Amino acid sequence: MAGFLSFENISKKFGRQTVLSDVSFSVEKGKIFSLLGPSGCGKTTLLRICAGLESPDSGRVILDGKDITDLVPNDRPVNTVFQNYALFPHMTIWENIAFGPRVDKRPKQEIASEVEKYLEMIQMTSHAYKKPAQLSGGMRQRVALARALINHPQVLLLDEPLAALDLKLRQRMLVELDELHDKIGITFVYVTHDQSEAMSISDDVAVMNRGIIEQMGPPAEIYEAPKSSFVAAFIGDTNFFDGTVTEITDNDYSRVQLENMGNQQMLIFNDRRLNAGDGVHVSIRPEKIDISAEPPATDRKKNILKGHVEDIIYMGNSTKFWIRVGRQLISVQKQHSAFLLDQKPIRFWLAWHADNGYILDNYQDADRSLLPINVTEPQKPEKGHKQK
Amino acid sequence: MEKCKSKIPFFTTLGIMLLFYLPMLVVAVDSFNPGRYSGSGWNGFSMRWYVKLVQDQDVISALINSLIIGLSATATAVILGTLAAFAIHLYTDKLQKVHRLMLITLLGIPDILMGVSLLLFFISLKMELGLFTIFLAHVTFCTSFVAMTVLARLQDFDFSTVEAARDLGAGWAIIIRRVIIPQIAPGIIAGALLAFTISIDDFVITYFVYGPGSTTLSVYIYSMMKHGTPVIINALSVILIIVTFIMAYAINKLMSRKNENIA
Repeated sequence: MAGFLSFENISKKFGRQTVLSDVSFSVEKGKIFSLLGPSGCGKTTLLRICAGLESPDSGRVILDGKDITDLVPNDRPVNTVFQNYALFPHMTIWENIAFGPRVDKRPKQEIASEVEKYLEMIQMTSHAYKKPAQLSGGMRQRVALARALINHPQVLLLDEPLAALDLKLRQRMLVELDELHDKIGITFVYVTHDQSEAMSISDDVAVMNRGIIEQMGPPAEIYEAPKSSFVAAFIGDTNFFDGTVTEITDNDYSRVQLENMGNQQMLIFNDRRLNAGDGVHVSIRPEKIDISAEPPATDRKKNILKGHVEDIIYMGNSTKFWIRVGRQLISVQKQHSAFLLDQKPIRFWLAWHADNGYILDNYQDADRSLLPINVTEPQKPEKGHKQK
Repeated sequence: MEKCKSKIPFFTTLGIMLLFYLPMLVVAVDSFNPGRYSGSGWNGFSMRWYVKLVQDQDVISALINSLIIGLSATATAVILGTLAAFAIHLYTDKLQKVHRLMLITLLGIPDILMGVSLLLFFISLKMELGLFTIFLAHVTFCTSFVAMTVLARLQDFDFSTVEAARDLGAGWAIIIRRVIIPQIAPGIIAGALLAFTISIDDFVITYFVYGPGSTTLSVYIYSMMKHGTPVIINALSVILIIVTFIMAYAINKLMSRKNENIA
């Protein structure tokens, strides 16, 4: 595998529980790479393996062409920002930042000037002689960053660095982190369970679930073209439709007979080989669906459905509609829809372009539980369901 | 906050003060009374017994024995107790639960039982009774006290700071010296002070396991009560009370510092 930092076939068990199974991926130099997933998906374990705080049962970690799997943490050109920052409570900010260089036995003069430099970088010069307990969460965060960066690591590992901060501060720190990355240009590996954090800061994201990587790629690709039901449901919000292919209309599109929705059919973009009769699962994002009180203009590649309002939730920057079509609840999210709120119609037309639906490679019923509302009523699995 | 108008707290405090400290007050006052016998009335203020005390060779040698035992038992207990606390805190398996229970039980076992069992044990090993047997006996209970105070401190100890230190390139020698010990030091010092105080004060266990030439202060005070001049004891007691008060104050200070420097 090419790449600056590579994980090759990493497996790890804690007792009987498999935490990572055969995970491989690589990170390009100077990029921000995010490991995103729910708690217990193995993302932090992967980070700790990279830091040397945990060793894998099998597999290798390669950094810049060198195998670092068996090196102790002190010998790795890698530093970590811990989730709760793990600052030394008995040391001042100055001493905290100086810890690495002092262990490294750099000359005293050099340490002093380096520490000053990093204090300035995080704009904390005036707090140098305070103890960590006297600082706010955001300040402690910056100290943890400086304490790691002063060692000039080749890779900075960040373990949920913003999880302990409130929303506003989190957004500001995210911008600061991004600016910092632009300035120093080293590789960041960023672990988070927050999809919006991962989306906004990363060059590449690996979505993890139960010890494997479900999908890896740039944020836009992961959001727009989810490969599995887990990715579709974990990142953002989505609608799942179950159906059976009835017709391959041309090379790019196929027609799908939908379950739970009476006789409705849907045209869908199809970039894989499907045959009539195959069972498929389709994901469509709520904001990709247009909603109107009047019948929309028809188009050859447009899917149009009619449904009843189940619920309307006003969320400020947008409005969420729950529309029932047959036995399926469809969520639709739209901006500038005040008129729809005022008029309170009970019937709506939904419309979306065939390109906005994605056939999922990998579908699991359990992933529906990640959605705010289980959008279909429970049903028995049918014969036609093949996982593609 | 509104002022509490109830008189109950006041009377409770007063009751405790009287019950606990009135006898000590009597001793303290008496120690400055130059009369030869207690109860012979106040004969004016005098430091006579204090002067006599520091001139008494037997008292001095008993004090030295007590200090030797106290310091050596405390030093040993600090090491054993701290290690025990780490074992109990870090591992939650059955063995460590039993370990914890055994340490706590040791604090509650009647002294006389411990004294008898230790004596029989030493005799069965054909050990000569003396400073060394007293030292061993004191190490047993001192270790429990140190382990308990260090355990309390470890509740607030963030082990991720150890990982952070490893991540920043530190080896174990540096981690122990610069990261672990400074953070649990208040617990260790409090435990050491507690252990030292109890070691100096201990009479019952010491009485069973002491031998010729190894009389400690508490044992000597007892023999003075029985045979000699009990009036020096008053002066000696006052000094012991003052030292104990200072120690108790220090221990209290150290233990309440618990949360101050934790994020």
